[in-house]
Order: sequence, then structure tokens, then C-alpha cells
Amino acid sequence: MESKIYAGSTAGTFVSYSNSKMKISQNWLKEFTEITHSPEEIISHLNASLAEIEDYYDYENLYTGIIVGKITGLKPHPNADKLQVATVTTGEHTHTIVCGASNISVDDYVPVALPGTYLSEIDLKIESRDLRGVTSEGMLCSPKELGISDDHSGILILNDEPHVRVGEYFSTLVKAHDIVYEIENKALTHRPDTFSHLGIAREFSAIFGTKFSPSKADTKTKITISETHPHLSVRIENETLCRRYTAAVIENVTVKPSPLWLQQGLKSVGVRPINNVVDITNFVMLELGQPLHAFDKAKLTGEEIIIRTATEKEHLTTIDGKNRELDPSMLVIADEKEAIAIAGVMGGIDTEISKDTTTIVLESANFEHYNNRKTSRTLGLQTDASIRFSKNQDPNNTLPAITRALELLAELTEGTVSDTIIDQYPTPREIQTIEITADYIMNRIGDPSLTSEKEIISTLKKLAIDVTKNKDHLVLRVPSFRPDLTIKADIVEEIARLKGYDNITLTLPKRDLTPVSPNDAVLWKRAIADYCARLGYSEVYNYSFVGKDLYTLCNVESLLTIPLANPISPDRAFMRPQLLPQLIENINTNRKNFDHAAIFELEKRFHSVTDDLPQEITSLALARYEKHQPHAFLEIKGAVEALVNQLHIADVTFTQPTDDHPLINLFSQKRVAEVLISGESAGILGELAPAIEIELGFEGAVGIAELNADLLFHFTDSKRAYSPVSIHPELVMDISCLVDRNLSLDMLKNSIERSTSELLTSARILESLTDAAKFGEDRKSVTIRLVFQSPVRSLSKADTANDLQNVKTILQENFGAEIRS
Amino acid sequence: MNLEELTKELAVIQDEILTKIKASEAIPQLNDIKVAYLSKKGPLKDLQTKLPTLKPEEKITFGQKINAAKSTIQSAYDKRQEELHLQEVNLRKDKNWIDVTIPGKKISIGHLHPITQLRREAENIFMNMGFEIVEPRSIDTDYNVFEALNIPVGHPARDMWDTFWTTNGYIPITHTSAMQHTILKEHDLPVRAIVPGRCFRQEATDATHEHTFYQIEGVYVDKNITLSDLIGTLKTFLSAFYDRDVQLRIQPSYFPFVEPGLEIMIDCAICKGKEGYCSTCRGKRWIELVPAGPIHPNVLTMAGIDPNEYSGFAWGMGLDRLVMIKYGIEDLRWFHSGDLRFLQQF
Repeated sequence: MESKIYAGSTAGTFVSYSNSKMKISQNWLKEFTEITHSPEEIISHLNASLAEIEDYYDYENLYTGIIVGKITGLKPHPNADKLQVATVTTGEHTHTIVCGASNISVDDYVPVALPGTYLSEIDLKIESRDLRGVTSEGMLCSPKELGISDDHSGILILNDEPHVRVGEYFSTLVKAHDIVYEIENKALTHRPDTFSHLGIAREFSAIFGTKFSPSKADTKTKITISETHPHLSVRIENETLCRRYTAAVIENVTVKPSPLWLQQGLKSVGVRPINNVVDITNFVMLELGQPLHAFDKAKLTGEEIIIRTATEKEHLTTIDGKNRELDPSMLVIADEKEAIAIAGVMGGIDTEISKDTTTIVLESANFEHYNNRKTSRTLGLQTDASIRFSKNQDPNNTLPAITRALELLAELTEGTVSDTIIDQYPTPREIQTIEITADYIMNRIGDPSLTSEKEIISTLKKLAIDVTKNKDHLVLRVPSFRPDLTIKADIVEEIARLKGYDNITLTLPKRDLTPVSPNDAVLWKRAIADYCARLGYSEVYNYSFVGKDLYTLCNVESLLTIPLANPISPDRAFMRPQLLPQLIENINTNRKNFDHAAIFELEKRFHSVTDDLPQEITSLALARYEKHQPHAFLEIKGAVEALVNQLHIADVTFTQPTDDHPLINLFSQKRVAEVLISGESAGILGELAPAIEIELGFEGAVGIAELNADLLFHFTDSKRAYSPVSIHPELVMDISCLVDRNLSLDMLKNSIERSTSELLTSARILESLTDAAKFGEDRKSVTIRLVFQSPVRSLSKADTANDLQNVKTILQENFGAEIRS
Repeated sequence: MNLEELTKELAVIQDEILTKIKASEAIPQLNDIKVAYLSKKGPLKDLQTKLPTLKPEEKITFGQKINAAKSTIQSAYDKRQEELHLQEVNLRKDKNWIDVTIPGKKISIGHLHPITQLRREAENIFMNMGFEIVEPRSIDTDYNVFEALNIPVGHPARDMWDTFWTTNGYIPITHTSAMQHTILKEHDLPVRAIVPGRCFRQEATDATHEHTFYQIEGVYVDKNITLSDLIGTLKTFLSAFYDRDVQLRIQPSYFPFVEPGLEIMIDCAICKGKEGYCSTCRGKRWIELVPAGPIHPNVLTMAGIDPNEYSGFAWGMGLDRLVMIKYGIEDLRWFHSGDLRFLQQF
């Protein structure tokens, strides 16, 4: 499951930070519903019933002190060639203002910053001041100085703004007073309708119980809908991927900057104004959720729009200037000749709107969401359009959106809107019906006092769900913009979230008294970790991902067999086949701060299996470092022996591993032993290979071990038998002998124990010495301590004579030993 | 010998012994003196053997004298023994002087990783509440990680997870929910299980983001399990884990395998809602901790459970987050540093 905090997942590699946030303007919401609550109340309610509001911005003080003025007089500055002196009226007052720009004339409406105003964009406080002998009582502002755009070529001229009036606050003129909320929209992946101001306003009215009036977005223009058009035809080749295509032609448009209110509206929700045509398409998308696209009709070849899949290796340069290679899984919009847009993702640069455009084709279409998402991901191109289409937009929204856009285009581009709209809608979306009862809803929530049938019906109606009663059943007809509502559980959610989850009375499930069956593997791993800690080893966690460099340094790179397709970095490119190389790294990290370090890790390692999931083995790795010791073999072996002893694993032997052991290169050749349990290889231990020590610059000794913890579990014996402690004295005898140098002392000891009576309680190896001069090249001197004890009586030497003789015989006959004493 | 001579000799022997006792310098030497004079072959025993040669009344007198001498010697011995004992104690006392303020000898103790420690705490609480522990695979199939959780190929919700893939198409699990389908399919109903495990997401690592992290999944399926049961269960756990009456706040969220999706937050115990910046809750006063929800009917159906008869809930809480909050750890990267300066603090 997903949680923003624990996975820290906000910034993915593909979905950018800003793409998971959506800005919503309160002014815009007010077009559709009443808002009287404070931002704090609004945030708290939206958080509880819709999605997290990450933040909000109050633009109340934007453009404070800027007033619309009119130039009533203009003359050259007496002392400076490049300056002019303007007389500006702001209604009751007239101001003398010195200005360096040359694009102003008498009767122009201009933004005036009066003394006392602070312009945050350029960090300037306006004061009355002397400019070469003339006192300037303020400043006329350029778009850049106001933060409207980067344009600093002249003063912002307001003559074309609708309803411009002398003395008006500039912020009122551009409708700047606003509160903008930032919504975390990851939680709205299933709610295509909320990717619009209209949708959020509908939610708002359901949450606060305010009136909802969507009609403000309705158009008054009379239009005819047809499948054909005199100068344009549309052909949908793939009706699965293109569910609807609606288009219109607008002639005689004038492409120019949008009026400031529109620019300001887009800017406040984070969209960059471009020109009136593009701004209108964005505006309608932000308002209604339907992405639109405008083509320059003059740049199209022929008069047919074809919606088809891309051909093999078809290329298109998108409006961001990138040439993109397409594949046949992708849907494109094409003219007779070639692709002109990637459907629902981005348009092509060749047909984009420019200042010379006079006739446009406006597209309002609906594309299948899975395919749209796949295309967007494959191309690494996520846009405002693809964000919306990939959530499964409502095909019934194309007409309201295009008519709204046509109305704005007629008004702001002076274009001639054709009265025929082409609309191809092969399979209209069906209305979903859900039958449910109020009792069902209450039972699923588990709090009968939370709500009532009456309240449920009124809440659902607020969400535009049509409710009729059929006896005790409610029959719900779900609007097409709510594809997320298909089953009863979806309706339970609507009621629960709108009532607020925090208001539900809590309960606990009822269950019987049957005890939980313990997970032996889990408890046993706890025991292993505890024993390791008792032995002085501290637990480390290392990544399950490793890199080639480390494994090459350890001469075990051939073990890397499970590469990741999309690693985070080269040093995390493979699933780890062993734990030890990383423990060696850990030792290297810690030796800077410690003269002694002992660590262990108990985690999974991975081994590839043909045509199946990798094998996962729980591995136990141990490492210890002693700066001031020459050796660590006996220490690491002692730890392993203590561990297997604690785990009650019988028949553990140690032997020289063969040269093809996968981990052999990690170890010093003469100081490595394979761990066998009942003859099965369970791990390896020893001292670190000198080559690695030298490479890492280690001093002192490093002992390492890696064991198959699953195998330890398999062989562990949880039954613990008690043996009484004898009160009678022990009889101790040492035997020294010369044996073959490669003889396994485990084997020797086991043979002795097997061939003696129960009076022998232990046979322990005291020492094993080599000395070529004294014992010969291929022999070693071994001293064995035999301990005899009886549970019932004191023993005399005579009691042990038989056993002692047996031991000597075995040593001589089975192992060719030469008894020394 | 007559009484007089014997008495004289007794006095000589007594003086001799007393002198030796006084001169003795150690307890073993003192004991040797005592043994030598009082033993069967010692001089006092020797005198006693001469008793039969005396007259009856003299026997009594001399016997008394010998006893008096023995008593004197014993007293001298006792006194000297005490002196010597004291002398030795004093000697050791001086010899044993140590600067008690120097630190003790350093003993290496092994430490368990803080995540291991708190995972066990959480596991124990859940076991007491009736949940069994199930371990997840670390690498699993697309089916278990996504499809069986109602997230088909191409589903837009897949964008919510930044998924690693092995070159042959398997997934280092993005969430412990990958075990849900297996548990629901293979365990007898009712099912109560938690799945603690290591998870992976393809994102760059910094102080608050990790590609490797830890979750505890929970699954509960029985008849008549409700939304209020889910919230009640998690509040019970969190209050036990933090040992206080934890306050919850719940936000709607979206995960395709639950319906509805919830984000459960707890009140920040670090700043307790006081003014000022808090690095734990980032000034929000609430900490997002457990995404959860009633199991989606499609998930039950896919596991062969009839959603009309059974219902349930599931959650996936972030273990790293629990540990960070508990200890005030500011940087996630310490967890996989292998640095003993960090690990030895737990």
C-alpha cells in the first residue's frame, strides 16, 4: 500500500513533483458555488472528505498600490533626451511621472505605482523623487515590473482590456484577488471529474451543502451538431482508442495575447499564458476537465482529420521541439499526409497556432485511458492533457467543452465560428445503475448512528447521482463523469467520506479465543539474531541491490545473475547473490572509527532459476575485524560453533572447501573452512583473502562467515534433553600423536566418540601443531584430551583401560597415527 | 620428676610457645606453631604423659596447671591470629587501591538493528491481538504485486508506484500487499495476518526518501467486518505501540485494492500541536502513518472469497516511519549505513 510519508514517494522519476499537485482557484470555484468559509475551514473539510490540501496561497495583496491611470499629457523631459514627463490622472488626483519608455501616448490607460508601493518583482519601493530636475510622483509599470510576463520593452497598455476604468485597482481589473489551493491529486487517480474547477466545485457543494450552479459554464450560442462539415471531415479508424471526436472550424481569428484577466486566471493556477487561442483551450480544460487542442488549418494537408494508430517508426516533432519516434501501439491525429498530434498527449509543431494563424480546427476528443497512459509513459511525456485522459475522462464532456471554447474564441479572437460542429461518437457511454439499501451502507460502515436514509439520498443527489426509491431499495443512476462508481462499496465510500471518517464510532472485530499459531521461522530468526548479538555481533542492514564494482573487487562477479532492468545506479544494479561482500564494505566503513568491530546480517540472497521466480534464501553473514590481532579464524569459527551449539544442531563438521566453492575467492587460501551439517554444505567461514585486504588497505585480521540460515532452521532441534550432572570426579587423560596433516579433526573426534563406552564424556582437541623439522612435511601433532566420568561412582584407571586401548587402536589403524604419549 | 620440676618445665614450655606466637608473622606460621606444640607429639602432650608418676592430689594440681597453660596459649594464639588477620586485611586494603573514577573495561555487546527491535514490538502486539505473522517473498510476479490487487496492466494507479523490474520481468516487491492474494487464497477463513517485510521503490535516496524500506501489511477477513472495525483495530494497535491514547485523523485516499481508501494519521507527539516548526510532522500536527481500507470486493473474488458473504480490511504501515518517530531519527540513510556509531545506540 501507498503512503506518501513512509515510502517518501512524492518525487518519482517519471511523475514530476508538480504533476502530483493541482492548483484550484477559489474565484473560479465561486463561479459555480457559494464560498463563505475561511481557508482553514475549507482545507480541513476538503482534507477530511476529498483529498489532502498541501498548501494554499492568498493573493489578496497582489498588486497592492497599483491603480489604473490615464495619460492626459506627455512632453519631453527638459534635461534628458531619453525620458518623457507624463501627466497621469487616477480620477481625483493628477500625478507627474517621469518615464523612460517610448510606447505611451496621450489617452493610454496604464498601471501606475504610486509612492509607498512596493514592487516585489523588482524589489523596489516607489517614492516621490527628483529625476534630473523633475519630481516624479510614481512609476508607470511594464509587464515585467508587475510580474505578469518577461516583457520589459515598454509600459503595459491597458486600452484593450474590457471594462477598463480610471482609478480602478489594477488587481480588480485583472481579477487578481484570489485564494489558490494546492491539492495532492495522487489520491484522485480514480476521479477524472476532479481534475477541473467544475468538479471540485461540485464536491465543495456536497461537502458544505452549498448550492451548485454548473450552468455558468453553459453556452448560449446556438450550434448544430453533425457528422459532416463542408470544409472538414473526421474519420476514426480505431474506435476502441478514440471513443469520441468532436471538432469545429473557426475562421478569421486574430492570434494575440489574451486579456489580462485570462492571463491572470491561468497564471494563478500555474499555467503559462501563450496566446488567446491556446489560453482558451487551457482555460476550458481547467474549468471543465476536457483537454482541447487547436490546429492551424492552413498547415493541414487536405481537409480530413484521421484518428489512427501510428505506423512503424513514424516520426513527429511535438510542440516542445522534440522529434519523437512513435510505434503502432500509439494513437495519433493525422491529416492526409502524416501525424499532426499524439492523441491526448501533445500536438505537432508544424500545425501549432502562430501569430499568422487565421483559421483553426478545434479538437475536443476522448481517448481510452490505459492506452493514453502507456503512450505517455513510453514517450516519457506527461502533459496536462495526458494527466487528465489517463484518468478516464467522460466522453460526454466533449460537447459542453467545445461549445464553451467556441464562445470564448468568438469573443476574444474575433473569429467566425462555424455553426456546425462535427461529432463522431460511435458508442455512447452507458449510464451505470447501482442498487443499494441504506442498511447495507450503514452495516458496511459499522456505525448505524452515522447517518440516515434521508441524508444518504440528499448526499447522493448533491453528487449528481439520480436516486429513485424502489421499496427499501435505492436505485442509483450514476453520471458518466463518475466511472469510479460501479459497485455498492463505491457508494459506501461516498457516504462515509462525505460524513467524515473521523466521525465514525470505532469498534473492534469480534473473534474467538483461539490462540495465534506462531510462525516458527520468524521466531527462530529472532533466536538467531539474539544469539549473534549475545556473541557480541551487531546487526547491520544492507541493500538487496549490489553493483559490479564491489563484486569485482571481491573476485566473485560471476555470481551476479539477476540484473535489474531499471536500477537506481550502477552500484545497485543486481539482486544480491550473497551478503558477505557488503559486510566487508561495512567493516571498511567502521575500521575508521573502531579497532574492533563485529557485525552480522540476516536477510535474503537471490539465485536465478530458469523460467521461474528467483530462489530466495535467508542468509546469515558474520564479520569481525581486529586491528591489533594477526588472525581471526578461531574467533569467527568459535562464533559459528557457539551459534550452532545454541541452535542444537548436531553433526556439524568443518572441512577444507574445494576450489570451485562459489565464495572461495573471498577467503585466505589456508584459512577457510566449509561448514557441513550432516554432510550437507551449510556455509563457509575463514579469514578474508589477502588480495582483498590489500586492495582495501586493511591492517589486522578480518574473519568472515556466511551460512544458509534456511538450512540451519531445517536442522535445528527444538527438543532439549537434560542430562544430570555427575557428582563423581572426572578422570582426565591426554594423548598426543602424529597424523596426516589434512586429516579432519572433526572426523577423528567423531570416530573416538563412536568407538568408546559411555564413560567417555568428551574428547576434545587441545592443539594441532605443524613443524616440518620435527614431525615431517605432511604430518601434524595433535593432542586430544579424553575425559571419563561415571554418573554413579568414582573411576579408577583400570575402568578406562579398555576405552583407552580402543582409542589408541583407532588412531593407529584408522588414521595411521603414531602415538607420542 | 616431681611436681615442682614439672611445673617449672611447664612454665618454660609456655614461655617458649608464647614467644613464638608473638613472633609469628603470618597465619600459616602461627598455625604451624600451634600444631607443633599442641599435637600428640608436642611438648605439652609429653608433660601430660608424666602425670601417672605423680601423687593423686598432685595429679589434680598439675592437671589444672596444664589446662591453665593451654588456655593461656589459646588466648595468645587467638589474639595473635586476630592481629595477623587485621594486618593482612590492612595490607590488601592498601594494595587494592584503585581510582574508582576511571572507566570500567570496555566490553563489546552486540546490538540489534532498531528496525528489528521495533518490528518485534509491533509483531508481538499484533500476535496478542490475534494476528499470525506471514513472511513475504522479496521478488514476486506482476500478478501478485499488482493484478491480483485490482491493478491491471495499464491501470493509471500504477503511476503511484515507482516499480523496479528484473530483466526477466519480476518485481522486487513495491509493497507487502504483494502477499495479500496468496494469504487470502491459501489460509482458512477467518484470516488475520500481518506481513512484515522489506520493500523497494525506484526512487533516488535522500534524507526522507529510500528505495529500500519496511512495511507491515495487515489483512483481516471474516463475516461482517466493517470500516469502523478497521479504524478501531489500528487505533488499538497504535495506542499499544506508542503506549498512549493515540488520536487519529483520517483522510480519503485511493488504492485500487481497497474501497474506500484511507490515509490514517496520528497526532504528533513530538510537538504536541504546539506552535513552531516541528521536523517530525513538518508543522502539520498530524503524521501520515497507515494507508488502509476495506478490501475491494474484486480482490476477494480473485482469491476465491465471496464478497457477499465475507468482508475485510487491509493496511500497509511504514515501519521505518514508526522507528524514525520513536527515536527522532532525521535521516533515513542511517538505516542501511552499516555504521556502528549509529547501530550501537540501540
